[in-house]
Amino acid sequence: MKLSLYKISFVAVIAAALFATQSCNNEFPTFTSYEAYTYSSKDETGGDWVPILLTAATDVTIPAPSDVASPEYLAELDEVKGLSGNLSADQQEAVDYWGNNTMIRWMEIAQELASKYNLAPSPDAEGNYPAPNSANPGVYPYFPFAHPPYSCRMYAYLAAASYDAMIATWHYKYEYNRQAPYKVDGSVEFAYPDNDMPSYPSEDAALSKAAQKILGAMFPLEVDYLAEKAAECRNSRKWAGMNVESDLSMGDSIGSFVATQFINRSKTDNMKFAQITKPSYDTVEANATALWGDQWDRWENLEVPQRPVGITPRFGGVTPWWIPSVETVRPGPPPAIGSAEYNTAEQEMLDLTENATKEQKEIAYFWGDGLGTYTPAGHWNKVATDYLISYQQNPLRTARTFAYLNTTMADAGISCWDTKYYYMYPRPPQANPDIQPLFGLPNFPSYTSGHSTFSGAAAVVLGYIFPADAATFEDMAKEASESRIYARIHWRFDAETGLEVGHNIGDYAVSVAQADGAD
Amino acid sequence: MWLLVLAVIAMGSVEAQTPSDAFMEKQGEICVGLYYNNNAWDEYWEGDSLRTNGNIGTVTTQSVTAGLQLGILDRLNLFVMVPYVMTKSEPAINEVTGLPAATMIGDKGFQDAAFLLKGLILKTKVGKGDLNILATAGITIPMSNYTPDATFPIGLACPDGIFRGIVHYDANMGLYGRLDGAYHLRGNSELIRNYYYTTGGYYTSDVDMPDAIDYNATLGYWIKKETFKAEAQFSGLTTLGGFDIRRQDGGFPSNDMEAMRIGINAEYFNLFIDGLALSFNSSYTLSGRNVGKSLTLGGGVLYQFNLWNGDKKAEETK
Repeated sequence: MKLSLYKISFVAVIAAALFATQSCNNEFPTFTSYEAYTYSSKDETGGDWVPILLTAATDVTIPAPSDVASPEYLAELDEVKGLSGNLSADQQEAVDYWGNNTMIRWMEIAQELASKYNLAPSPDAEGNYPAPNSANPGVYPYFPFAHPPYSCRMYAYLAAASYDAMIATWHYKYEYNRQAPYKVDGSVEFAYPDNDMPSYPSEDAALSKAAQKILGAMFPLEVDYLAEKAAECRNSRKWAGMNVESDLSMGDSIGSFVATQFINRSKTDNMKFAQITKPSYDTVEANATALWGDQWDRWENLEVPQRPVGITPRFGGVTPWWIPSVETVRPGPPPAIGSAEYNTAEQEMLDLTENATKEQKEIAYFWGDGLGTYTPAGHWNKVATDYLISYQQNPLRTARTFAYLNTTMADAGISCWDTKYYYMYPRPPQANPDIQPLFGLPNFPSYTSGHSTFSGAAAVVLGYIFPADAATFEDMAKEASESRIYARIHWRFDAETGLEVGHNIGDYAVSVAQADGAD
Repeated sequence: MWLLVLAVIAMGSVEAQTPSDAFMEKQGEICVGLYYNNNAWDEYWEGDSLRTNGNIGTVTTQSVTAGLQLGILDRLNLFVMVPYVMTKSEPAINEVTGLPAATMIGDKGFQDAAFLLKGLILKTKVGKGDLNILATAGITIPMSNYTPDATFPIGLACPDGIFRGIVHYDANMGLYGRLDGAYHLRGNSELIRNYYYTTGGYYTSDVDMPDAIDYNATLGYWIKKETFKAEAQFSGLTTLGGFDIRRQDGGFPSNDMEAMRIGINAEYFNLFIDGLALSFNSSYTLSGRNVGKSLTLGGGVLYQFNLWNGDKKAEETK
């Protein structure tokens, strides 16, 4: 009797332990899972839409394809037949992974690289901070440090180049109207739903080549990884029965041409002047002190050892995509220390230090998007991905969504950084050390909140693209903005003003998008 | 989560005193206890590189644990433990501003409740002494939905199935030695965020926690027979997998965590009144990986009494 109780107890405990620890062991997805789908539109005239940087789709020249009855074509068709009928497990996995909207994957790769490189340099033994060097990216601290300004600009180049590449692709698809291999030959198995679109040139080859080049320029240590990904994407088109070699090679040409245009723009957009050295930084500080020194103590980095220069003080000088200038959207000054508005905001910070609710803290962590993450812009790309899948956007529309979202968020970053270093307003814990943040203070001034500006801009663009969900995006943006208050990273006026400026920047972009021919 | 190097992994800390030793309550006896632990470090291993970080300075984790050990049978005991944990950080002084770095706020709350059974499997004479073989099995489960997304989280937020074997030899000259080791079968931890990067990006809040093992070698001596004992202990723990903290990154629940520690324990029984005991423990991290180089100090008050009349025959066979 007693012995059986003894045994039963042990068996029960072991079973309970196994259950508690293993029952929740589900999958750990490394990408957004979706079923290849039927596109909600074909946009046959998409080749006429207004590109972001190209003057028109015809900036790229693509020759007429060989006829589907020609020997060259038939040889290419034979290759696809041979490959697509007999897939290995790895090939099938690649076909499933890349799906029929490959831009989603390239954006995820960008998010992953942003996360990987979003680490601030560690101090050396003497307490100095070495800086990443683009001429020597593999020496610690590795280049780049993909902080929010770097990342929002990176996403913008990727997405804008992808959109221009899609406009050019659509133009030639419907100019030449060459059918896909599975249409030409019924024995070719097609892995995805039939969207009845011409296959020459390949949208996925164009996207892959553009992404490989843009991301390779942004993350020089990842060139091999990107080449491997691009090759897999390209091959998966043959495995899927979707494209023949000439579809792909002409897609490559478009991607390559467009990427070069954007990389040329990136070389002259002033990003190279954004991160400055200490002597120039002293000037930035002196300017702010001259303007505002009687109203607030200039922002300082509070880290130990102190980082001598904030993150990209001249990011505000980077060429924007849509706003006329940073001055046009720069908000008025924040309240002086000791003013009524300041005192209210300070009291809120002190109250939250003592009494933040569990829900407020969870909102702060959810939108934290700090070091080691894909940054706020990456977070909004994740949001956009879920919506464009649910609305079954085609690759052209997908690229457009990402392009306007990300160029607008880049403008938000540019504008916000101009404001930050123009005013150099202190973070709450600097102004009052009794204010304790939930996590580390970013290495740039407080006013206005980057999260809020990015999010306000993102909500306007996404609300324009998915109007039925505009209120949801606005709620999310407001939550992202307030998350910074809950974390005591930002004053309420940083967040509210940032959100408002973000809206304003979003409106500039939407007015451009509304005229691009897609509506 | 800017920096999350856990003081000591939850495992081993709350259940250090009793489920891993050889002491058994008789049937019907219960021992209730209240323990306090203070663990602090100002250096930690980032991968295998020991460093300081002025932004977090000294990180302190305090816990108050209420526990009981109940003799279900002479050979079967139940443990229940409920720890309340508080974390805090005292950053270093910024040499330029003369102010401390911004103090990132700590977290607090009920951590992981432990439910364990300990069984005496074998008790036999070997030479002049007694050899006891015991086993402990049970689980620890997060009680309060705390989050490892906090900068200084109170725990790893994962269920842990613990299976421990204990070999205890009492030389009957006041000297005893003990070896024990446990396998930790760990379930997922859960973040607030739904995307995170470890060595790749993950589109989920769930974190795959590597399993872990821990082991202790203990040498003890009864300074005063059945009244005052002192122990020296060597402890190790290691996760079976996980990844290193990258330079200047924060910690993460599924890091590869390793630690070797030395410690001392002392316990005084029947102090002032029968059944009342005091315990003291201290340990220090000698080497590690992705953990703090911490010093732990702790103590407890225990009271043992009869809950019901146990089996008389068992009493007689003692």
